[in-house]
Amino acid sequence: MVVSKRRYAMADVISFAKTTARYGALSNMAPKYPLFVNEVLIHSSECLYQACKFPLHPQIQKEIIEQRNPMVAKEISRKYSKFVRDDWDDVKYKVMEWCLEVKLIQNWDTFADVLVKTGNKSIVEYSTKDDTWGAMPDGDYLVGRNALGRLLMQVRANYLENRRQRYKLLPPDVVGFLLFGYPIGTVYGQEYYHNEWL
Amino acid sequence: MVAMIDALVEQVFDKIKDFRKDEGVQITRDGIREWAEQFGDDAEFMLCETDNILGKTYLTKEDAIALYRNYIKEHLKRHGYDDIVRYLQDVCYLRLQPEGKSQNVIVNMVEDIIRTDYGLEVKDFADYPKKLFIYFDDVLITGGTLGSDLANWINEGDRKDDLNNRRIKLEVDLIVEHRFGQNMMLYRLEQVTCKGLNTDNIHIWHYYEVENHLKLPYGFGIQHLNAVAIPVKETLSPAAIEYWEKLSADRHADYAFRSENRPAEEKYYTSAENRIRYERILVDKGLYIINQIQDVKGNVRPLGFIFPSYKTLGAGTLFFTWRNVPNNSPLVFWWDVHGHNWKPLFPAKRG
Repeated sequence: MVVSKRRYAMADVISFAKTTARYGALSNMAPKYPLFVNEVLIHSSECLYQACKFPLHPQIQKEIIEQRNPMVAKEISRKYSKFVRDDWDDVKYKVMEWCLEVKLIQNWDTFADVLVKTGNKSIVEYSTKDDTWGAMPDGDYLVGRNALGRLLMQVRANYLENRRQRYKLLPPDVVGFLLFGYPIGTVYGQEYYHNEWL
Repeated sequence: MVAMIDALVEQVFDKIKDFRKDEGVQITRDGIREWAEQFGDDAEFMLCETDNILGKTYLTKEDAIALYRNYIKEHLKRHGYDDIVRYLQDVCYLRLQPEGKSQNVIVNMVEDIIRTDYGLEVKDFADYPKKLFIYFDDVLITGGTLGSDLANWINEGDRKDDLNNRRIKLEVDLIVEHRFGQNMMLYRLEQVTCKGLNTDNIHIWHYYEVENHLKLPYGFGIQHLNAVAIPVKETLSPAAIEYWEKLSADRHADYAFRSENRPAEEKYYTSAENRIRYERILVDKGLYIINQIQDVKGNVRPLGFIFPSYKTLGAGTLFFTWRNVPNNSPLVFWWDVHGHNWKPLFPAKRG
């Protein structure tokens, strides 16, 4: 995925930064959006995304996933930057899109609502440091590649057009996509677990 | 061989002789021998391996009293109490399970220890406002009972906000926990039954952990797969494989079997080879029992009860206590139905 820089008029977009603000749920750092991948409870999409960087290092994945606080999880991930998979730059957008899809299908009753409320507007992650995943302020504009916002818009378009909950999600087409040494399998939607104990 | 069997019967008897003794169940040497003889040429092997298992994961009543005596001391320390009176003012031992179930037995045991060791009656502290709620149970296997008890307690008492904001503490204290069931139970609490609950504020303590989650790392390098039977598919009889393939269930098929090289080092069974042989026999004899049932319910599997939607051969738990042989353990240990040609190691309570 080639992501070019864009310029967004602040007044026309849905921007998000802090998780406590109105659209904070769009952030991967947002709490209360638990995920369940390979029958492992993961506290946020940030933790999942960071863990995906280290498929050959289950110890690092464990350290990240045990963290309730996604900021701390990100710091742990930075600490191990030399162990990040070699092709990370080639696969990271694909992995991020999958993480967002997991967040959506496993938190349909809450996260889908937030996406719906963004309407047709552009979604932009407001950042003062990162113009790759987000966009930085420049007068009345936000300027950057805004990869996270664009992936969120893609997920919104894919899933919300028909407003139907997806039951399951296959892993992305990424070689060696492992969690704790085991291939990441199909992820099931929230609804699936209502019937788990039948 | 007879002498060896006699010696093994004696060893097994010595380990499980207190099983439900208070309730009139009698474990006898003859009963153990008859159980073993049902395995034909494998009788001595089954006794030997079962003796090893019981030595590791059978908890006598005496063991349990010692465990809870130590637990009380540790519990005070863990929650920062200097004296038992302050502790008892704050603590509430929940009784959510029906009378006669493990929870009430454990709470009674803990209250007896407090009476004996500290000269205090827990009921005398009932009127104090409670901050620390304890859910006791002996085993968490699938998480089903615990999950629904906690969800009901939290929802009916409107306690979610109190827990999320740490105004009260909830602790689950178990003798044994199965890791797969624990993960499933917590996820369901957060996403299904108690939506919005921060399960980080539920503290789960266990005396013994069964590493049965096939996709989790345990200490890295070695996953023991202890106290559980999860067979290797390639080593099972054709009848067992056919039975598994025909199960009308669609969940967790990838947890039905382990690979032969896991665990990397066998520390629970007497050897890796014996583990394969023992698990295969448990499955075959479990199927022998199932084949005698006229109307087989979806949760009945050779290695013990499991949810009908799970495509596995059963939960396979091998943890037993002086009062509980879980129905999630292999059928050969506990199946006791009049008219069926099977005598269990642990007889059912009669009358």
